[in-house]
Amino acid sequence: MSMEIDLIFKIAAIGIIVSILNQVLSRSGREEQATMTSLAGLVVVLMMLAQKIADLFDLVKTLFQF
Amino acid sequence: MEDFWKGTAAVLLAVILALVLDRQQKDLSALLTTAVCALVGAILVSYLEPVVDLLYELEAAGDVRDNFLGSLLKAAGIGLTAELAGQICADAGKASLGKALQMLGSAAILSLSVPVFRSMFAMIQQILGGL
Repeated sequence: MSMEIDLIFKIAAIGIIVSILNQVLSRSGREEQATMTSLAGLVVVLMMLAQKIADLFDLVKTLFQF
Repeated sequence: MEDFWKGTAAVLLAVILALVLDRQQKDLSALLTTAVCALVGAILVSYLEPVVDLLYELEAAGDVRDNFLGSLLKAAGIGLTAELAGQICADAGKASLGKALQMLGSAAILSLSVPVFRSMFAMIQQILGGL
């Protein structure tokens, strides 16, 4: 359970860091790098989440006898 | 019951964090919401396990024929998953996708219930045939 709570903090931290980097890069005129940073953050979080969602679906399938 | 309080705290925390992320990174805010919903879903499943076991015991005690309980449980699982995922889509601003997912869940449940209805009609025919 503590691992899952850590995940929430990690996602929030990545989001805030990406947001700040996005702002800094946009204001320096580096729009492409800002976009790449956002995409990178999105991909990292997606990779963290994909396994958790797969585990949840496995749990639901086991419980409801699919 | 400790998991319930931890889950509640996690959800409330996620609401605040999602509001912060919403201003700049709506996509990551949606992913955070999905992650917390997955976490709460896992806690929910852990609480439902003894309930499902009890239902199976009652089915065995009642000597119910066919796998009606299995179909009911599958329908409940589909309903819960479709509802939760649909709401996540709606929160992310994609209400049409959420609606499509809920309609898909309804269609899947209807398709599951066909054998139950067939058994019911067969039973009614048997009863009427005996009259």
